[in-house]
Amino acid sequence: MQTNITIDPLVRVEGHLKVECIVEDGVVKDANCSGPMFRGFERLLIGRDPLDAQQITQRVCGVCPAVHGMAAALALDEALGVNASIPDNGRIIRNLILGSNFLQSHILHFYHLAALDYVDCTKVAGYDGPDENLKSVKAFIDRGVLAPFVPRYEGDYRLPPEVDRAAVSHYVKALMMRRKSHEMLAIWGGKMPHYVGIVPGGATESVTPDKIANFMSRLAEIRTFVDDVMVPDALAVAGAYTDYFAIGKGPGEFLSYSAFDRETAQTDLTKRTRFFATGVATIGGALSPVDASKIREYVKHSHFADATSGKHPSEGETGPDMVTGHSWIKAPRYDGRPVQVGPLARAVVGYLSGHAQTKALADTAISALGVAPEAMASTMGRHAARVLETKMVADAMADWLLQLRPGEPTAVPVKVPEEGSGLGLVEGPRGSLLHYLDIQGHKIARYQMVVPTTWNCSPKDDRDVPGPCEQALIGTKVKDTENPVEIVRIVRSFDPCLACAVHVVNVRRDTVAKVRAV
Amino acid sequence: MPRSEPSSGTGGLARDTATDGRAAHATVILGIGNLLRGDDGVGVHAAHELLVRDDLGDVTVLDGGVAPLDALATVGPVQRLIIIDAADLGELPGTIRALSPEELAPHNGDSVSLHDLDLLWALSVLQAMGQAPPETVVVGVQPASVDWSTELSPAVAARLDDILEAVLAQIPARGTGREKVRP
Repeated sequence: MQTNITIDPLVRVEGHLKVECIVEDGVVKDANCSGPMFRGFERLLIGRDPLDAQQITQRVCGVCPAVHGMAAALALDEALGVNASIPDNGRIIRNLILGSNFLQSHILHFYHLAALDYVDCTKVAGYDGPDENLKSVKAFIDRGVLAPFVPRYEGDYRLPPEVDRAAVSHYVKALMMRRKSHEMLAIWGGKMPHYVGIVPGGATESVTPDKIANFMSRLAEIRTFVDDVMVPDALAVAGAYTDYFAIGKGPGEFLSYSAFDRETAQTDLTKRTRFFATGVATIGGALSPVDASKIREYVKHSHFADATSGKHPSEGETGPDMVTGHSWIKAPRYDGRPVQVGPLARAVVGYLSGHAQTKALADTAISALGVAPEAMASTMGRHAARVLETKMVADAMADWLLQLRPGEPTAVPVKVPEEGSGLGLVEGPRGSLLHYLDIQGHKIARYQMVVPTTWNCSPKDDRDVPGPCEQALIGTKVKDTENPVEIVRIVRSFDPCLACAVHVVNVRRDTVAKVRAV
Repeated sequence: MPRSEPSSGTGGLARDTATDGRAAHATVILGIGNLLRGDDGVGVHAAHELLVRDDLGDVTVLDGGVAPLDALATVGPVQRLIIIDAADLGELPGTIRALSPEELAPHNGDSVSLHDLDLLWALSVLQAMGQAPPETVVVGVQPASVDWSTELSPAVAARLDDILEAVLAQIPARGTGREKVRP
């Protein structure tokens, strides 16, 4: 038997994010985020049938296919001239598909990716109680296999053993809840993953009472889980790690395109009525509407020809130039400035906009935790915002579901024009997503995406201003450079959609620890 | 052919309310990989070939794309899982080999990123939940190129029929007793 066979993770990795920190006297002095793999899918789309974009862009990623499909559909709606005529059923089905993806993604991040930074799963080893989930995990760990619970950094686990054990049991329960979300998505998406149910012009699945009932029963279970398990767990973690409300702040400006259309008559997506609030906000209280023309991408520190720097995505190019820069990630800026995107950004924009659901949830959490509202701009604030948003979306989905009308149309017919262009702006679980598409001769002539992780984990821009994650890292105290738990906790709070390699480098720039944020 | 030992915790399936008491699928064929990365998508290409076949009997074919765990999550309990995936076997492109999960590289954990909820993580999670299928086999195919492309390389495309044969040979009821996996 051949024992040393490798299925190389790189085969299925779209890109690894590398974060390099320069630590001097125990403090991060500088940080650089890099994406060391070329993202070739935009070029791959050129010359294809525009209708393929909705399917092909979903194949980019195993966690975010839903929102890529949604952004592509919005861009195509405009390019095909049907953006004002999406039937209500189609609009709502799209929201339910995207909402299902929000639920599974936020549950995944909190329990399966982030929780292990704060929860000590080894406490399960001593368990001898009746909980079936814990018995299953204990049997698994007892066989000496610690994956998927390793690797992790040692030390600084502060929760009482019974809370740790409950969290591990919830880790397993959360997997079952993700399964429910996938089943919900499949009801309207036709298949999972990489659904086919959203098309330009609407959605394909007919609305029947059966589908509504099937969706509703699963959603009810998830809402119970979120209310009774996930929100209390998040508050318990936040309460034990309150110092992380002062760590990993990042730039004080936030962007939300919003998502979940409430109408489609308005063709300008920055003005369309949607469930989330939209805007650009500062932690100091300033709020202004999103102007998509203010988005630019800079490439001084990226592997792209410098002549392509400072362009709007509609003029963006993907011309590699290995001589320049250190990253395949461009540096998107709004009006020249780095902005944070994601659940925290949506919460800040929503709070300042007076978004009722956001305000109610945020005020309750802020008061329960006894922190200042400004402290939400932090590592732990990002986690809290993500978990509270899970509740907000799950609750709203129950209302949307009841607005479906069985038997009524879900889509309008579409025709690919000779020429056209479209801009898809939408929020995914990780933040603001932009797809831009240009059609010439009935084929795709240009396709550009600006994805959430490029906002949050961008390299420095042409003026050498660090990106949001870099800013969040700079100034952080690192107690033990061999065990830089602070750094991985900060990076992970952004929920980056890339594998993260963290290099901790001392002031002589010798690598003293090479670790991956998982 | 290599097969995994029955896992000790499969009774967990019955506990999982998500499966709503559904009977286990006899055989699930799961093609995984990234369709945009050339031969990395070989499992998906193969699954698409099998999806249009009507002579497979009690077999469920899934296009798992780059989210294998999520694809499995929607079908409920599985008795026999046959995974088709690109694998670095250190052999010539197009080489096909049936592997047990134990033969795959030990999971070092550092691939648990969002773009990389990969096969091994998916299997370890199922094991931790006590829900790993009793029989799991991976039909691995050596890629020639994983560059950006929606097409298979000629070397791998030429083996597609052999890949399907190797996959179906893993189903005992269909088997002819003849070992069909060949290098």
